[in-house]
Amino acid sequence: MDQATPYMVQTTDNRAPDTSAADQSAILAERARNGDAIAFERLVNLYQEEVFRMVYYRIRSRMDAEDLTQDVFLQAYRGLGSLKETDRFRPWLFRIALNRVRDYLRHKKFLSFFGFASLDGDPPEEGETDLVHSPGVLDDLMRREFWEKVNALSTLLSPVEREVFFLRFMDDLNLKEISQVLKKSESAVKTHLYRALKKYRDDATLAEMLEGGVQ
Amino acid sequence: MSVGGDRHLDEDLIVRAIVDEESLSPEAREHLAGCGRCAEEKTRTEATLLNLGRTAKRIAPASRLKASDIVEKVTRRRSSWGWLGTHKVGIAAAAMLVVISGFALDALQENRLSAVNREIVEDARFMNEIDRLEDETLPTVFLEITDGPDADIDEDAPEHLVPPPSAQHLSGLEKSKIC
Repeated sequence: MDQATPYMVQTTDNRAPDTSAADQSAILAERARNGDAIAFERLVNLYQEEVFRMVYYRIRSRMDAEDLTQDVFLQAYRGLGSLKETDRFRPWLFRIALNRVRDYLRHKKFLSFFGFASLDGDPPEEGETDLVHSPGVLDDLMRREFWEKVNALSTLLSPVEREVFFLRFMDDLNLKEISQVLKKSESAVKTHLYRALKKYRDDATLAEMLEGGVQ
Repeated sequence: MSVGGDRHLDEDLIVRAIVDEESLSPEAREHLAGCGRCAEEKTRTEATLLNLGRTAKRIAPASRLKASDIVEKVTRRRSSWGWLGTHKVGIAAAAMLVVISGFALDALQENRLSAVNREIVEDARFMNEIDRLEDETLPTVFLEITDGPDADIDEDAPEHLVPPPSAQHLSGLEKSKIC
């Protein structure tokens, strides 16, 4: 591998100060599209944690989230040729992830109909209870309580409002990126987000619960 | 909207400010910038929402995946199926050939079968003709005289017309032969 290629410099600490993460991704995506496996590996390095978390928030199973994350990158690798604007790599990747999550949930719903699967997330696995900072039973309780609050919030919202809300506040995407992920106009995204926030603010119990619990 | 004087941004405007502050009117934005109470209300809600994301990130389990493993799996799966992509046209042509030759073979076999069947029918007809000829060896005119093929044959009639050779006659013949 040629060490002098620009993205190799940018992905280290020597990153050019004016180069944003989006620009960096665009360069890497451009190179990966032309068959550069190392550029693709750098993209995986940049986004795998983010994609994993995004999937986990929605399906709550670590093992399945890991499998789906792999699938997302496999699909991304295959579909890179169809990505016209490489500066939209992040929303494009999130769109793939969102579609995979939908497929997974649909499949799970189908199985649960016949009693083969539960729609709730899996029980915490061994490694899942090991928090780096404060392991223990309290953490499990805290985790369970947190997801219960998130579930309570989710039930208030329509599917699209929930997705916009999650993408904005859980996955930390901006409005433009959300509009690209969901293929909706920015004004439509704002409207859905506005409605979601109104519902959240109008439900005093939930607002109090969230304010008290996640501070 | 309720802005100005000692009035403050209402609920809708606070929410709109959280979604996109740019979408507020200049008057409302100006008020938000100068009003501690409204700014605090907005910041408090925003902080709760941002905390939600931060907490989710903190308590979510860490992925055990390694980027290198993902890349290896992705490229391996890609390369194991890669030949499919590069030889797409060849594979499609071969598949077409197999299908077409299958049809052609079927047609050929069908032709052969029908020829054999035709031959069997011809043979059967020929055998029938032979059987008929065996049963009706005499011409039709004789059949009419003899009252048809099923008429009873009078065994004495030919004797009456052509007397059978007597023993005397036979011995005379033998004698003339000797002489």
